[in-house]
Amino acid sequence: MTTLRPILLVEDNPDDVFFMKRAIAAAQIPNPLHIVTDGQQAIDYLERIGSAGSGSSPLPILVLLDLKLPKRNGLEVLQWVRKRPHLRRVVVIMLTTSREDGDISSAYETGCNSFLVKPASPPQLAEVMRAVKSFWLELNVFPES
Amino acid sequence: MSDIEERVIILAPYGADSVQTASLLRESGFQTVIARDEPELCALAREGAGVLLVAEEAFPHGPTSGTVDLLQSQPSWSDLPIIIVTTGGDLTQASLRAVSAFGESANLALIERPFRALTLIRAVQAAMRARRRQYQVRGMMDGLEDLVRDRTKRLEATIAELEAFSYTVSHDLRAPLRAMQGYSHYLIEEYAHRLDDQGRLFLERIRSASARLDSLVQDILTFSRFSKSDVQISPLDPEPLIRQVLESYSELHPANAEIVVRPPFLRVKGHEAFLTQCISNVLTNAVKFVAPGTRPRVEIWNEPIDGSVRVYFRDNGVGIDPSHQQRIFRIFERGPEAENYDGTGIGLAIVHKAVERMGGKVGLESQPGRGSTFWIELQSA
Repeated sequence: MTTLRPILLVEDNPDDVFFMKRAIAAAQIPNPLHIVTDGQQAIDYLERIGSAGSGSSPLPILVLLDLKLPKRNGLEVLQWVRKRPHLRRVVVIMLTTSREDGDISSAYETGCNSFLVKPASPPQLAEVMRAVKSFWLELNVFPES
Repeated sequence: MSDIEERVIILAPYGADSVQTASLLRESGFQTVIARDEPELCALAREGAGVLLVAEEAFPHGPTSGTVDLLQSQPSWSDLPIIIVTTGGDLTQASLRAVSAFGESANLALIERPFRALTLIRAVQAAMRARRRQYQVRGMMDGLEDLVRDRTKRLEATIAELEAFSYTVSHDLRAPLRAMQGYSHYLIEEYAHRLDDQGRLFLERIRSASARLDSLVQDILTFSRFSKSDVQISPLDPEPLIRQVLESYSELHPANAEIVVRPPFLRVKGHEAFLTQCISNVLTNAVKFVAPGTRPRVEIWNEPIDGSVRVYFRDNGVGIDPSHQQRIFRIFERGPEAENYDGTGIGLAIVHKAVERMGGKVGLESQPGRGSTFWIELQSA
């Protein structure tokens, strides 16, 4: 059996991390969850993909990326990702509280695959994660990595 | 103003005339410069000129397009005085051509030859006085422009601050709210059995208060988004938007309310998201504000009115006293009839703002206890 590729969650707010873990559990997503809490850590993680040795990171199946992050914000991370040939095809989903037109258009222009707004209540968040699971993890066809 | 702007530019085909006139004017305190021909006259005048002094013979066939263009392309404050020295007696063909080619709009004065030195000096003095007044007007206009530029800059800074504020509200204010809602949800779900009835009631109150605050924040954000975003107006059919709203809100489903839609609907000029928001706010209000035990009933139809279309929403709700009918469209204002109902007091302010941004109007007819008829009027497409 092949090991499932992880979901990389980039989220600085510990409350949101807690709720995401719960929602992912509620949606019964089987993939392992890897959590980093700022933009620099996300870049560090992604940089180690495919590197030799024990510090190598597995290629995530999805990146759930918050916009407002310490050190490097979500857009900067996305920009960095899209410039790397081996990461260009990684599915990046923005997961944020912002509905600002400016944020939404710059995220798409920078190359996000989807833009989701964090709902307020746990049942709604669980609903969002169930939709993410059925669309991105079950229906969506990925390129050969 | 610089010296160059107070000079008299002289054009006379016979060099001797120009030199003589120039020295006469210089003796009276004017600065002078002599142009060799009409193109040079124009070039000098574009650099700066107080008065143009031109002998009629310089325009044997009337002024060329260069001179006419120079005068027509002046800024709004400028009306460059031109003195034409004619050969005297009846107007010659050249003078007539000059006058007609410059048109009525040119600031033209004619001096007949032979003239006394004083006549010329007085004429130039009068023209220069007028010119100085023009420079004063220019100064005032510049001041005004600076003022407008200044104010605009300050206004833009304020708008940018407000935008940053609403951005902060959306991110930083909602995060702790989501935490409150989330943890109270899990507390109820996982620990409610360890609490007594009162404990559970307190918890439920915390949860509903944070949910209310969250909808308040979201409504404020919607309102501010409608205030600032650019609106692209295009022809729309309101009916599918109405149907879509009826489908997406459970309180508008047949189980909970009777909604009668009376097609056909005329096409209007509007913005899809704005109009959808208006329809949903008006409709959810219509079914919310009913007397206890009453099944909500709303009727939707439209009528053309002088190049516009009015979409009506008649309900069987509690109605609104005429003295509050204007107030309810303002942000955070709610009529006393709304006291016992949930809400943020922003819904109709959003409708008002959105309709205004689409170039339309919104209003209502209502009596307490006899329902309300809200209408949205947009230009017909």
